[in-house]
Amino acid sequence: MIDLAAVEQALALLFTNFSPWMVVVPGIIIGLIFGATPGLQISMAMAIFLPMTLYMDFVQAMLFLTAIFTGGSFGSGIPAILMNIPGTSSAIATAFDGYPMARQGKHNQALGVALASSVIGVLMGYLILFLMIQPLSFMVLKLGPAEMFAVILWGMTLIATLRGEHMLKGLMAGFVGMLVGTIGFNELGMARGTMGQTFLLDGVPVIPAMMGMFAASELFKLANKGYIVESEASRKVKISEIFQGFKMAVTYPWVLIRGGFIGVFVGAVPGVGSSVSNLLSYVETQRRDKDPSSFGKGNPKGVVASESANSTSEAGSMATLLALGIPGGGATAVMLAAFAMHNITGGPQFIRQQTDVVYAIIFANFAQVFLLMVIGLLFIPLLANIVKVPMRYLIPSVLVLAVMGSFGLTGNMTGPATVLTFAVVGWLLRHYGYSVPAAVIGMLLGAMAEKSLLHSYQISGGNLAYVLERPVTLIILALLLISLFGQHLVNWFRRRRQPLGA
Amino acid sequence: MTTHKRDYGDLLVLMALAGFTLWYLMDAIRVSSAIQNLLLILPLSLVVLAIVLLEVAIRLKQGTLLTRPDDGGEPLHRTLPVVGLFAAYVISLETLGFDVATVLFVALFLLLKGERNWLLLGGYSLAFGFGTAFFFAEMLPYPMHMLVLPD
Repeated sequence: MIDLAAVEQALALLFTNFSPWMVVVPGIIIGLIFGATPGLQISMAMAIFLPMTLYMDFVQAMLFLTAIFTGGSFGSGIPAILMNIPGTSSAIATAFDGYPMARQGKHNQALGVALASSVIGVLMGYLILFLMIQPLSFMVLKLGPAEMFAVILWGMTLIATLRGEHMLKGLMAGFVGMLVGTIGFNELGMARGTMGQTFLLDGVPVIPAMMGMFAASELFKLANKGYIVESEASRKVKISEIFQGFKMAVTYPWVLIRGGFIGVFVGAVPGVGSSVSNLLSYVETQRRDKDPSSFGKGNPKGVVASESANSTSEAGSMATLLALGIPGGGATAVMLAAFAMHNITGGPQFIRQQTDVVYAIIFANFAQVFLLMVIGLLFIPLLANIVKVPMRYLIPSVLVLAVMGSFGLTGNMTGPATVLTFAVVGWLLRHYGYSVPAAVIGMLLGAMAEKSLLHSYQISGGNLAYVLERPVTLIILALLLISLFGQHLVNWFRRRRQPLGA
Repeated sequence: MTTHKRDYGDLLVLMALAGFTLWYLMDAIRVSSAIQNLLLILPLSLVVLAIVLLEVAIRLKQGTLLTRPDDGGEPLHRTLPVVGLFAAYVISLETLGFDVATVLFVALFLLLKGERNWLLLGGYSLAFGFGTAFFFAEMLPYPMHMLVLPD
């Protein structure tokens, strides 16, 4: 499974001179800044700095881009925790408990927990990638649209369990969100729900909509408050508490491991990746916990679950890119462009012929983990000061960042208009007890779900028996049923056994 | 015990969700009634409409159709000025430019929320407004409309 000769060559590639490493620290810092700034995306950072990789050799270019990826995946969790604005869709679940922790004055711990989970997640992800890149690439080849639809359905259905008290409202928000996600052209070139507006032909811009629903609507709610953290004593930035949070994450090894495995395997599914993995990991952790009602109210395990899964997803999406040459999302699409710039094509042949380069990328990421830890610990105290800013200054500033960031994403006024529209929608939904995360996740997954369902329909010719021939689909559907009804079934069996035993 | 207060908004939001779903379904059918077009939209819309009916039935049974639990949260009208100001900001971007619109938005927000230190109010809104507009204009590959700063 591991080619030892290639391992030796990979180490030689990395350590014969220092030049590959010179780009790693700037890469992590760029990633952190772009990830932590609402509206700026990791893929945007990678695209902006892509031309620089022309002057680097392939290994150095990959180290630089993966460093941006690694820094950005942690960076996006920072605004999710401090301002309830997930920098990217992969940090949605981080906000669920990270932001309540910040509001309780536990922002230092929350950031420490997120950093430790990210660091361990990246390490675990690349370790799994190192050991399993060949079987993983074989497995990805077996995944088709039916499996993708099953994964999406799993993620989407479980969202109902996030809103135990208002399950119907949670489902409604999620499903209407999915419908909104299908607005615009479908795969067959039919445009639905556009009201004749050309800017809707490509669908509702999801990231600006997400910014509006999450950030702006939450800020409206806080408009009459003095500070994010009400108590003055809790607003302090304490390095000791950041370390305490760092240690706290390690006390939940099973949450980390579960998040890691979910992250790698779901992250390897092209197009789904970290957007779903953080949610699946969160929901699974909540479902298995002794006190599921504590989630969403500032339970650190929620942050661990989300951050470990979204960080390991990086390794999963790298597996698909390296082994098949298929980008799983925006960031790996930019990496594919870097492949092309260096005349390299990802795929089974690349893995076979250039195993040393693949291993070099993996080993370099092990080292990046430690650099992320050091740089992250230096950055967090600076960023945590945000809780000391009065809301009357923070709210307009963040709203401006969201508006300008959304303009950056769309290149025209569609972005800011989308932020405004969905800010009002999110504000109303939030006020009346609907699940805003479910609506956002629905929007993210709607088009993806329709596409996979349509492809499955086309491949099967409309024959439902096709699903029975797809073992991976059946396993995912079985997992979905187990995660939904497993506990109920166990309880039912227990109840049945008790009178017999009595 | 949870007390309920009269609030038509909850029902209106529910009806708006049902209305959007129905309109979107009709629009999709109008575009094409082919299975490929309605594969996801039709079943999903029917599920949403069924959930709305179920929710209405439950509330009718509980006698809470026109009320909502009193959770002690802020009434909507207290936040309306902020929402209105934000809407005005976004709408004015094309005419006032990202630079001036941002400075005005930040200054008016601070004023609305009780900032009476004029030096701080003016200094922050000018520095933040122009600084952010300049940063994004430099970073983004698209032209941003400005009134004072270079595009």
